[in-house]
Amino acid sequence: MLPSKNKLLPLSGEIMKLSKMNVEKLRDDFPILQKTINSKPIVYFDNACMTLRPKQVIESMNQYYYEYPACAGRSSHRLGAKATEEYHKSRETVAGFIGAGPEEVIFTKNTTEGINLVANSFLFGKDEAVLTTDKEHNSNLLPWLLLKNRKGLKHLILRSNQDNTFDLEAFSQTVGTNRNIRLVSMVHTSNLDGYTIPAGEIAKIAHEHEIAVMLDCAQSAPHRRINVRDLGADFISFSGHKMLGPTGTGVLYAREDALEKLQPFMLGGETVVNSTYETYELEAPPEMFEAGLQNYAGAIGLAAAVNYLEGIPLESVEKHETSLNKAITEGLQEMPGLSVIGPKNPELRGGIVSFFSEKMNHHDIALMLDELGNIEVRAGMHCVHSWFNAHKIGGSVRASLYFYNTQEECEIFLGALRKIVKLV
Amino acid sequence: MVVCIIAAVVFGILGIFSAKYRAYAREAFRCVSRTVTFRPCDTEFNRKMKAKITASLMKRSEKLGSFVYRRFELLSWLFLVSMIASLLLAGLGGYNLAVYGNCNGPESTDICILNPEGASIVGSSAALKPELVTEDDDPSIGSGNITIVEFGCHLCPYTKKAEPVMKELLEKYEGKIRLVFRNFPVKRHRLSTEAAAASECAHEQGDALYWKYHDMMFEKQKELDSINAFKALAKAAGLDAARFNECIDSQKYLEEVEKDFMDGQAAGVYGTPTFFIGNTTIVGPKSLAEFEKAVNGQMIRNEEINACVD
Repeated sequence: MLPSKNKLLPLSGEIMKLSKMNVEKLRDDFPILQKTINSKPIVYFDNACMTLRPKQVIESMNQYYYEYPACAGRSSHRLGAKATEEYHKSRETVAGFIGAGPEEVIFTKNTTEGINLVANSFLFGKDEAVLTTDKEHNSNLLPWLLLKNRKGLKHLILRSNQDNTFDLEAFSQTVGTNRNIRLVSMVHTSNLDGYTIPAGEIAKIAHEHEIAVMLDCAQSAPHRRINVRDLGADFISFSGHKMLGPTGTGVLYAREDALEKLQPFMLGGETVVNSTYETYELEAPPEMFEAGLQNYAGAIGLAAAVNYLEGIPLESVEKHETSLNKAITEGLQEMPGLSVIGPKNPELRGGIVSFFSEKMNHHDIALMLDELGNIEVRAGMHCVHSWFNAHKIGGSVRASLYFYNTQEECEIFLGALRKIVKLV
Repeated sequence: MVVCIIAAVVFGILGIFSAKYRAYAREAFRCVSRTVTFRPCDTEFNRKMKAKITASLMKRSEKLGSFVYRRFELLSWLFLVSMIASLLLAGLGGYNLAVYGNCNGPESTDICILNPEGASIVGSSAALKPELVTEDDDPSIGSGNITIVEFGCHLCPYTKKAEPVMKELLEKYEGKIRLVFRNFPVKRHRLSTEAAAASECAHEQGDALYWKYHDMMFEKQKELDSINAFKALAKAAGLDAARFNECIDSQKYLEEVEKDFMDGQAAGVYGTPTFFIGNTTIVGPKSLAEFEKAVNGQMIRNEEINACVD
């Protein structure tokens, strides 16, 4: 059963604060959080990679597979019609979540696919350039490097400030002086340090110079309210599996007029109205960008995830994560030899705490956290190899939080970490 | 790498018995195979093991966890070396068990984990052939239905070690068992053939004097380093010295000694002492309990045979 949209809506239109009681109630929806390993609960702090799924999402997908497991948009039989109806409803739900129109929402399999779709469909001219930051996930770096190598696209990188925050002045100067920039493609909230760039101002400045803007919202859409109209970006891409949705689901938003700047690079089933041996007539967006059979169960599950998030709502998620981040940051400051990546102020780092030790390997720390307390964190370069290599840092441990994490879990994490850092 | 080698062996063996270790074994083998082909290990297996071991120790003692974490590489090397040594010893034990029926070697008295009752093997030692054993006219002591034929060497410390047990056994099973001693001179003991010949010279003067000389040879085993020492011992044992000296100087019993040895070899004897109790063979100086078990077993078999005849 899908959750009731109003199930957790705040009274009197006020933003609901996530109290301990609310969090405990929400945690009941996550089957994995009810399990234990070696009689201890699981502390899941790897939400930047993938969040957990509530049973409502799982049930919605099961519903598709049990009751109408058919093709959407093609078959006219009753199962096909039901699948088409639910798929369209899912698109509308997701579009509503980000303040977009349904025709502006293209389903993808993840953020990476969304960015690649734009990279390969955007009509770049000769000697034109794309501008990124210096701490992009590989998904927003490698597509541009590929185009640079294959088609001669220019790739410019904007350096961050010393504390990894965004240098708006340098950005303004760069786009003002470099007339070849056609697209600014930047990570909205960094998976490296949780810092969120001032996207609204960036879009405003870029548009003043007739530069299109794409945002990698993989780490922002799940944690803060995104309204594409307010954000002003031409394209945004995000993943379903980082916001309670099924794996292999994602969304590319393209503003209606920005869609005209894209030419599909992948065609097939459902992308055309008609074809002959020599010609074809393209479907209207978004279908023209969704080649072949789609992940209908995934889209339906993603809509269920969106409904679930709407019931919390996101504004309180952001506050809750920041309070947890503060607790962890304060704890880390008491431990010698640990350095946090990004701004010192936890309020600027959302739900991500990325740190490294001068004396211990990050993988060792992560593995021991798992062994000692079932604490699941990520260790490595988090697909931001370029930043780590440039800064000559071998990698970091990343604790990434979500609304179902608790202060108690932060204490468990800090307690285990204190023991681990004492090893050396 | 070191951890991967250890884990590949350990989990490889454990994986034979339990599926849960097979994934670890696969990871460890992959790590080893990549490393030996000069490719980086991509499974982080060594780190996983380090974390698991350290965390497990930390739950008991944080200091111990810290100690192991800091010296993990060194400890891994030590463990690897000792593991290789253990494997080599285990291989040797397996070889000994297959060839001699005792994983500790033919002359050991230690407990063999694969054969905890010692080397009391009934028909499982491929080398020994009880059916070919004969008593010849060699000296014997005691009387009874059960005959124990011992192939021994008077200069062998293991044969010496078995002597008190034999005495005890003869006493306990008086009237039931008879012990025949046949010479099987072990070449690595200098003068072992001469010692056997000396004992035959003693036997020439009667069973009683033989067994006295026999016992004294073991008592003074370390001092028997020359022909004169055999002669001196004979005198001390009350033998007719002139007759004994003449006997030993004439080397008249060398052929007899050689025959004993050849009979022993034909029966598969490869070390001393080797005991044949019917079809049961015992190699090495074992405990009284083991001899008793063999004797009792033989008694039961004899009774069964008699019952069939009746």
